[in-house]
Amino acid sequence: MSPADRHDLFPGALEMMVLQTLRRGPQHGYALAQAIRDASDELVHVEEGSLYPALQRMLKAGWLAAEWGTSARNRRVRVYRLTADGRRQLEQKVSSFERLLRGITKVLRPGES
Amino acid sequence: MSVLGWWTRPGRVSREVTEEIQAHIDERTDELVESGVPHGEARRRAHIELGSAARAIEDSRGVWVSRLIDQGTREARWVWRGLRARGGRAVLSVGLLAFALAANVMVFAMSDSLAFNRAPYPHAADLVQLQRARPGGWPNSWLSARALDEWRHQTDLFMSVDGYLTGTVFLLGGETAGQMPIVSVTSGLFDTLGVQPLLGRRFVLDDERRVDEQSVLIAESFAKRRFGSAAQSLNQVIETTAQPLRVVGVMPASFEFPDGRAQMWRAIDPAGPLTLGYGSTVSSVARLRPDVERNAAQAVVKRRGAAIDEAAALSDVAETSIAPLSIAQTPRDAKGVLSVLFGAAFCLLLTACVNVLNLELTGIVSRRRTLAVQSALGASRATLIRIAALEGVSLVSAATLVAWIVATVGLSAAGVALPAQIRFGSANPIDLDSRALIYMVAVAVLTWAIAALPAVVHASRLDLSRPLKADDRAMSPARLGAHVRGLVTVAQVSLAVLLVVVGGLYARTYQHLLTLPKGFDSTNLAAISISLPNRFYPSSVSIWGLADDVVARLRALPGVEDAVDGPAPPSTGTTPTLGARVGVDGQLGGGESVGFAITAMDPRYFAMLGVPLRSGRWPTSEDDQTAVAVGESFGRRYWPGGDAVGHTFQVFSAAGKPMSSHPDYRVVGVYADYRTANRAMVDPKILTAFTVRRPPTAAPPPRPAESRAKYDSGGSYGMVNVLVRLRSHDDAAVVLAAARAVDPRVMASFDFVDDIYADQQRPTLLITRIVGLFGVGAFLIAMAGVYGVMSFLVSGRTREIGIRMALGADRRRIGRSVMGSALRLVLIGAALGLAGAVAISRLIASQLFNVSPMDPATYVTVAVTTIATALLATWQPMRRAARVDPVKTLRAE
Repeated sequence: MSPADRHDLFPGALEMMVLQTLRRGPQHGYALAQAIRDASDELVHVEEGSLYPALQRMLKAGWLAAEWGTSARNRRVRVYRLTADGRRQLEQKVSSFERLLRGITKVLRPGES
Repeated sequence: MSVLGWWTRPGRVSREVTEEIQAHIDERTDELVESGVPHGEARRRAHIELGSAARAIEDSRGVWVSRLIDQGTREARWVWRGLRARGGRAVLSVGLLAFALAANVMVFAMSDSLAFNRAPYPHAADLVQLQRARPGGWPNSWLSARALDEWRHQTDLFMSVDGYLTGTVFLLGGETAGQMPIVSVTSGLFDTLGVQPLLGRRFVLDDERRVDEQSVLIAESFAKRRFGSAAQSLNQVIETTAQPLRVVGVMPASFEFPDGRAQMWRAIDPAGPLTLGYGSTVSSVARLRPDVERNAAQAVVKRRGAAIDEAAALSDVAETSIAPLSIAQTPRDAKGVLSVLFGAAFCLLLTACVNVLNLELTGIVSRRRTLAVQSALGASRATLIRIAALEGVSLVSAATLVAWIVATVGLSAAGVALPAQIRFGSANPIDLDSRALIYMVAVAVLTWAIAALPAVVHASRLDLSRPLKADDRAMSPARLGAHVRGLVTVAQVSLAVLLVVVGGLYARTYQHLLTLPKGFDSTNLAAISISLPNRFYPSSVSIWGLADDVVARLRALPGVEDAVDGPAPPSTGTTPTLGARVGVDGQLGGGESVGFAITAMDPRYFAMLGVPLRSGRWPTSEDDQTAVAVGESFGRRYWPGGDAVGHTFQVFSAAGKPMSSHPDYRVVGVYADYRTANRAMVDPKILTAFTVRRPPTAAPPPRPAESRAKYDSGGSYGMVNVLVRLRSHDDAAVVLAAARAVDPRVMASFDFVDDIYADQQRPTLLITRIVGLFGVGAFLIAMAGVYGVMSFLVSGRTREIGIRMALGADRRRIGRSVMGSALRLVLIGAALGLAGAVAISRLIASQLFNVSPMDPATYVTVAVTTIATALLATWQPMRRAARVDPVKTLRAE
């Protein structure tokens, strides 16, 4: 069971949000968590701990690269950035997610469109 | 990722993610504090928002390791901890099992070499020897060159048929000069066996036809000794007293044929002069076609035999058959000996296994808490059982590894100590080959099943919830499996007693054999054997001339009392004619067939030996060849109740025809039997008579080999044996040097007659030592087991003993009760062991000598020793029990 399932996120959602956030620029873990929370107007609640295994999965897959840096409060943190692979992944994920969403919407509102 | 990175990565990820999460919490805490939340509360909320840090770290790490490997390393860690927790017990277990396993694999290696008759050549099942048997006679594998040729034409049965002869050759030059065994082979023999030289080439047909020199393949070890290395030996010439040998190839060290003695193989023409000395025959080796089944081939060979004999112009009537290629000249009783060794090694293994099982059971009791904690931490019962099983596997594997090393070292050490007939007795060397490896693995699995599996089963039945709920007192370890451990001790003691009794019976046998009366005075009596190269001693006159020369020179030495030309007992100097029947006073009765040997001896021979005459006189030089002296058992057998002197006897063939080679013999004297047999005075199947040796004349009767062979094969026609009595043991070197000085071109060896007799008993000594070693080993293991069980029971009963003492029990009574429970186990074990020994010893009765299988001395000694040692082993635990301080014990509650 992946951590995302436990928190009512569909598989891959967390990864997609991380990739999307990183498209705007490299971020460290805590900043990523903040950005996701802020961007979703706190509608999506992520148990922040589950972010880290997701980051490791994406590192392993080669979608992200990481290096040690310093946070705004001068703490040693690991900074993640998107790789070319990650960028391609994001595009694929977003387009397939949009297709999925259109399908689900059709089922939920059969009269429209 | 490198293998190392693959192993270390998960650990690094854990550390890095831990640091990241720490930073995450710190950042969040700072942010909350900045917004006015008190520090403590801020930290708490940061933690809550993050969720389980431990799981995040674990999951992050899990990204990099497969679940299986992760679980594997965790279990491996537990197994390692389990082994570490055993401490000295693990070392002891590995040591015990290694000792027993090494014993087993070494006995297997010996049996595989000597008894299982497995030829170490590719597809050996297709290798056979052709053999002919005359009616009522033993089969032999000799084929004439023409018969060999005829059988080679039977291509529907055989891929090839080849021949070989064993002999010796005198080498000249270098440190390896001297007489060497050599095997003469037809050129295709190595192809038939399916073996390749290490260097150089195999024989080709042309090698058989060489006249000026002979092609030879040599063993790697010999190549190194003579030429420094295998490569350097190629194409070299080895000078002999006959044709030089040209090295065309080197055989690998592992190759042996027909047994371990041979180090040179030369190509010969089966129809050539070299086989003349062997009746123009060679021993045969044939390879069956792979599609021909052996039984079917057997039937065809029997059918075609007569026609092929006729085509090969063989006049005698015989039946031809095929037999598996025999690679070991192992006497039949050696197989009995080997099965005893097998049994002994197995008993030792059982004892060791049972002891380790005992240790393992003890270990489980003391590790119940660990198991319970592991179980509470979420390890499933299956996992715990798997770990327990793996611990056992690790122990046994370690023991197997150690045993393999011990056996390797042991066999190479034993190689030097083993009698030659065992060490070189087979073409399959005594080594740890692949078959030994398979056997070892099988025995190791069995060891695991006996020594470790029951403990696993026991562990799986433990109620693991209890140790955490209540304290250990509820299930005193003494009660736990006490019955099992009692049984185990009984088994150990009985196996050890069995082994020691059998070892004792062999030891007494050896003792009896060594002290057997010889019937003559062997004090300072020695034998000098001289091998003579054909080239320098081509005739009987020259050989006898040398013998007389040596005798004269030795008699002139101050350290020599007397010397005479004659064989050293137990040999009588002549190979008996087998299948003879003796007729007495012109009448051939219904006598059974025997071997008959008549030896011409110098009249001084018996005087020197000191064999007394019972009646009549010794043959003298005035007598002719018909006057003989016979032993008293010979006399009793054919002239029961009367004196043999004055009677005559004749030697007939098995068919009842008088043998032309034997005249009518006339008994002139009867001498007291002296020992010529291994385990008796005389062999009842061999009759011996002595006539007088004629002094050499100008035209002495030719020696048999000489008349057959005018061709010098580089070997020896015969030996000169001189019996010499020294004034003291210390003169040996001087005497040998004097014998050698007569002609430096001959090979002379020196042996004391007592040593020759003792040498005959070396196999008995060997089995005595091995069974004895196993027995002592098993005995020590069993006594250690008794000690272990008793001290374990005492420590488990400390509280009970304390209470009893508090209630007024006497210290001596406590001690007696401990001693009593130990003795009960030991007595039952000893009784079972002695009963087992009675049963087993009947099976080995034929190997014993002058010792009853129920020899009371051995049984009583072993029983008394066992009980005494057991009491000694119980002494310390008993004292500990008697010294229990009731106040301390009860206060500890």
